[in-house]
Amino acid sequence: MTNKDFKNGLDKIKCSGEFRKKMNDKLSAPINEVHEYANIVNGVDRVEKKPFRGIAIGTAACIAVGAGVFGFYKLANKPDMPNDPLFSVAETSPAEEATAASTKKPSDEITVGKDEVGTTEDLMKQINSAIDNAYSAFQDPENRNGKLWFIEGGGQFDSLYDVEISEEEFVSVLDTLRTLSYEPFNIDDSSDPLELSRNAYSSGAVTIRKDYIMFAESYDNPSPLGSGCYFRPSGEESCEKYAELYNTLEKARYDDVFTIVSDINIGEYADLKYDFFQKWRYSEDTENAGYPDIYYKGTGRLRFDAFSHENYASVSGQKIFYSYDKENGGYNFDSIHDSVGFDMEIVNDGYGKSLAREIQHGAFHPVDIDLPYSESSTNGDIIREFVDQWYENPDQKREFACNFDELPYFINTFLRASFDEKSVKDHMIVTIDDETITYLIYSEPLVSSKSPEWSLSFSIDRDGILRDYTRTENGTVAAQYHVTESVPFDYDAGVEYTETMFNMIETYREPCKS
Amino acid sequence: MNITASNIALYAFEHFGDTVLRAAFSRTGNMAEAEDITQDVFLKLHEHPVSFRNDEHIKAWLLRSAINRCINYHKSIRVKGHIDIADMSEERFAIPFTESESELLSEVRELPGKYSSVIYLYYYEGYSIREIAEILEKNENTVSSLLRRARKMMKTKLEREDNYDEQGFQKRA
Repeated sequence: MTNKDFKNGLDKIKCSGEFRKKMNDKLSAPINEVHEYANIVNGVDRVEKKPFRGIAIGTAACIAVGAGVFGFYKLANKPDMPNDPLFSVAETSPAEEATAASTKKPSDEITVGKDEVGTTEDLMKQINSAIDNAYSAFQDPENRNGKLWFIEGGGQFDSLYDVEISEEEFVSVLDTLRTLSYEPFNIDDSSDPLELSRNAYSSGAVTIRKDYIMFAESYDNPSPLGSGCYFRPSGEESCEKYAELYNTLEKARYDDVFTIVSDINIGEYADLKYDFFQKWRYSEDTENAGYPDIYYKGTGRLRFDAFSHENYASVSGQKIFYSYDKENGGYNFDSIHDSVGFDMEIVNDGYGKSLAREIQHGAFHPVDIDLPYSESSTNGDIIREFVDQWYENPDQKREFACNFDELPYFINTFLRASFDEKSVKDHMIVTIDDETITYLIYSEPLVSSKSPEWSLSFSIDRDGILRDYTRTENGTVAAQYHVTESVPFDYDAGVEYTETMFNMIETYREPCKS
Repeated sequence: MNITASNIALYAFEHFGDTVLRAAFSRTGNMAEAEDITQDVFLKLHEHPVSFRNDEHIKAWLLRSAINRCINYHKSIRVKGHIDIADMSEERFAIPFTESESELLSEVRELPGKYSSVIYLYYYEGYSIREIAEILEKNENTVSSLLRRARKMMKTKLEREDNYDEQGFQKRA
């Protein structure tokens, strides 16, 4: 086979006479006659129109689904909520009710509340039904140029904007909501949402998973723009995610930024980062050496204070830097989970930037790292930069290699490594084959015959689908979920990362031995 | 030059109907779907006419529109839940592909959408990385990366017949 086959094959694709005639007829007709084009072409059965119930139903779907999604996150960090939190998340706040009332939402519209839902499956059915109905309503030509309520705000529906929206955008938003709705409710019912939420954000790798799940099947729109997580002084995490909603055919409209903010109780941080991203985006086209309006002129730092040590996202020139200042106490390496005060990711084309965190947290005290980032940065670029910069000092590399309790070695396609920090041994096994990267990270058992105190495992296949995520505690499954939606993941970057780590370790293992 | 024909959609269809159909087919591998997508693209233009600078502008706009439609088409199929398989029969099209053509087209079609689009634009339409980036409104490096990964995923090694190398850069004289 050659590319001539590709070209020759496609050259045979031409409009048939019948199709050409139909199209000529339609395109010659006045525009108002074209709306009813449902059966122009034999072969595709278009959606049967359902009675128009107005875009409010779409609004209801969005609100219902959104309430479920955001409510979940809100709930996840509220340990004092009732015992059956999964199904009580859609209870509307007074603010939501007021908003809903202002949109004249009929009371019999779709709701996803605990009274109507018995199981997760039921809940998903309702959500899907709501989305399908919204789509069907939108299919009504009368409603084609309708409006979609835009959700924006911090964890609740602070404000709703109506904007003109195309069908493509509408479908895209619905799909996003559908996707959003999957993840929280696919969780094993027996797991503790609070714990799961904590798990999801507590290690770098899993943070990426969580974010990617949020934007699963993002296609070209909406496109993830960024996300960030940080710990509160209490140890609880807050995470934010940002996505742009692109017009299908046009560039992103900044006033259409679809902001997803979960569990924002520290409003100042939310505002800060929201502005940060907004201004960052706005400044893209400006001819300047940096981002002059980003709180500091020229080179500057955005300071986020959490856990009593300083973390910065610095902006200079065309680069964004992350830095983690040396901790000044309070870190606890008993568990990987608690070692991060602040984490920010900027994602580009769906790729996250913090794959290396596990190693970072498991093996090292945080020190400053600057990761150049540009719009064109790939995941591999970032990781390579991370490794290069973090270990640019040979002594530091050596220290790293020496920290490995067992030197890493390949068993077929295994990279196996153990790292030792403050007498707590953690292990990581990365398995790579042609189809999947599997990560298994676990603590050393206190007693050899017992299960590890904790373990995390997850795998990502070549198509970028996160297959399974399991966390155990003392051999008991603490959280587990299976994802079937596509999760953007840079498989190549994962391989690159693993290979880079391996090569680096190999390079420096001899001095350690001596 | 600004093209603002009174019926731009008809003009566009006459000049680029095959192009759009081909782009859709390369992504869907199904003539019925490709026709449906093609129809949507031009009807949309008919309903909401756009002013174009020249024919190349029209072509690029149509290709982008078709590629985006392919995405949304499959999403809406999923929402709709079913397609009448009988109506989707290829019999009425009967395209006489050779075995190797069919195999290669399938290989491209089985790539994730974002990859197959780039492969199509690069190898069939002959666009440069920069042009593809403009059409898809992506960063050039992103397009280059997509192209690289797509090649890696494919069993068949495609080559362009002009003076572009495998990385999408113009070969030195």
